[in-house]
Amino acid sequence: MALAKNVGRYLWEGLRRGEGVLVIVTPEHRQLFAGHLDHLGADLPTLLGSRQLVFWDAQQTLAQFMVSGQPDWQSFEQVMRAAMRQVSSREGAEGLRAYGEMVGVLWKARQFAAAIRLEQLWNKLLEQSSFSLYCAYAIDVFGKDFQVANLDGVLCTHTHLVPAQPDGTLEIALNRSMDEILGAKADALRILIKANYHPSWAVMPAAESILLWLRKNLPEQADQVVRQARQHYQILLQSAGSPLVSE
Amino acid sequence: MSNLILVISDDRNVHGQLRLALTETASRCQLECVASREEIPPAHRPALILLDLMLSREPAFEVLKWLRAQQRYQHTPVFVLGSEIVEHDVNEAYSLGANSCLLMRSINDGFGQVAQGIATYASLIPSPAQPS
Repeated sequence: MALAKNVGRYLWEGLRRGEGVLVIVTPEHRQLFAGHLDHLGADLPTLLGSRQLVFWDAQQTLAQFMVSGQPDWQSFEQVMRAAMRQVSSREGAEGLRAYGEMVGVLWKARQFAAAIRLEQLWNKLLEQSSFSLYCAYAIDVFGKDFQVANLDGVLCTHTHLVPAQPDGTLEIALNRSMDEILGAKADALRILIKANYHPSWAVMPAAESILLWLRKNLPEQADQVVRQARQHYQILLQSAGSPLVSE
Repeated sequence: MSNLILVISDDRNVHGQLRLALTETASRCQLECVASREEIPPAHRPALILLDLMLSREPAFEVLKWLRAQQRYQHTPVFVLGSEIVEHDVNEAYSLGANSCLLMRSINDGFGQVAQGIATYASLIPSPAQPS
């Protein structure tokens, strides 16, 4: 699974450097990442025992700082600093890296405003502390929720965005679908979309940018293009044995 | 019915490139070029508005604000044309309701293709109801 591979690589890199690693995840992903780290050669009992690797539950952690449906800065800061204090880097090493799925949990619950607010709080904490952060969201890029109004706030808070399938599968599916639905006009539109400048989209892969642009500017055609692209994507992924989700 | 593209720019190169692109793409869209908001014919219902960020008579952002305050243009796509990347300006344009910000690094270098994209886009969007 692409998520386990991407996140596992990030966590394993930190562990090998001796950094403390804080992982705030759902129970199923805890199992997934622990399994992947084990596969990569991590000595989990030692890492967990020495607190170089610490797992927290995403839902339970969220519950500690959500106030009236929104993350509260003071509580968030308090909770996260407490979490970070629990983590120890290896002797002679320093540094802390965190991986979080709390924003993803909020996104999945369609609490978009709270998800964006939480991203902003993470950024505020990053400005005040020294650690690196990796987030993952299970966002269906073919879903109706994948549009500018929902995403911009989240995108603004990131320096990089890594799709679940970095091999261009989505772009292939999308381009094929655009060609089928829009015919000869697809090429001219692609040039127009490429000329579009949106600072917060700079972190985003090309296919996701095209999808967002179509959803915003050609909503009628976007529905058809997305429907068809989903089918192509599914076929392409089935042959690769991956799920239909971009994280 | 052909779609109308309203261009608000006092740069004749921009007008020329767009006219050429419409001809080359055999687009059924019509182009109306004005240099300021005062020149916009009151009865016009364009399908797409292109707004040059480098207007000389008044700040383009004021024009954009004005456009979005007019009921008849509230839902009309507005593409902002800029010659260079100034992140602050682009963010401002989006926050004021621009749909897209297009970079024209050089009017003579590659803008023709972008203009063809604009003509193609205009041919795909629904034609707004015209006043009777």
